[in-house]
Amino acid sequence: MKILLVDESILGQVLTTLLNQHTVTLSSHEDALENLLLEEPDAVLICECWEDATGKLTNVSKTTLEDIRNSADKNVTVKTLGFDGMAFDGTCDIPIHSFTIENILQSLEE
Amino acid sequence: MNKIILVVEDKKTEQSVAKELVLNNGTKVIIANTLYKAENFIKKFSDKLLGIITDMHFPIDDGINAEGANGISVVLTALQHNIPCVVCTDDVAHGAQYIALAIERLELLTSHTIPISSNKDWANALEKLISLTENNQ
Repeated sequence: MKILLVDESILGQVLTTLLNQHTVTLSSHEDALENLLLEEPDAVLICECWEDATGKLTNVSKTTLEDIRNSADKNVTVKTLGFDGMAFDGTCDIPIHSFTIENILQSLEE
Repeated sequence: MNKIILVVEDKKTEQSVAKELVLNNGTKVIIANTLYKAENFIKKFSDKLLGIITDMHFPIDDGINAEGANGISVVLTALQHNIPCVVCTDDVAHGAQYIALAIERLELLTSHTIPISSNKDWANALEKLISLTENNQ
């Protein structure tokens, strides 16, 4: 599976390593849309869609998610990973407190 | 990569119609719902855009409700970057028949063709854009 992983923290690097059975492109939020159009992935996993330590909403993630969903073809799976209940829209597809690589892959293959 | 069409439209239902048409045409799509976003996308993807289809009335930025005729700004920015642009609007519903006149003036001033699909007909707008890009080649 070709996965576009949108994350700017160490988590993204860890996940890239753990998902090494797949083709993973790690992207910043700023370049996510460009990478979606360029790489044509089968699935997109957007991380960090939660509030930061100061409680400030991460609008960057909201914008990224909106842009990706708007541009993605219907056969491209788009999922979010973060702290459930703290994401900008109240929920994440894959809550970080319980995620495993198996859960992530299962979610991306849906 | 350079077969991307930017659709500028603030209404979700219209976005869906436009998106499906563009994707079915074998082109990729980027959607902007505000002037701010549209101009950012044009600057960022200017060398990759096949063309632009823009609504006429939409907000300047998120959270700003006022719907000015911001499509004019999108058309101007497109012309500055030499990107083919088609206007897709329902000017009768908006009571804004002046749009056609404004676009006509822009065409005269810039020597560019700026087609209008005036019944919010995305299929027609896409057809006009493809025709425009073919004529430009």
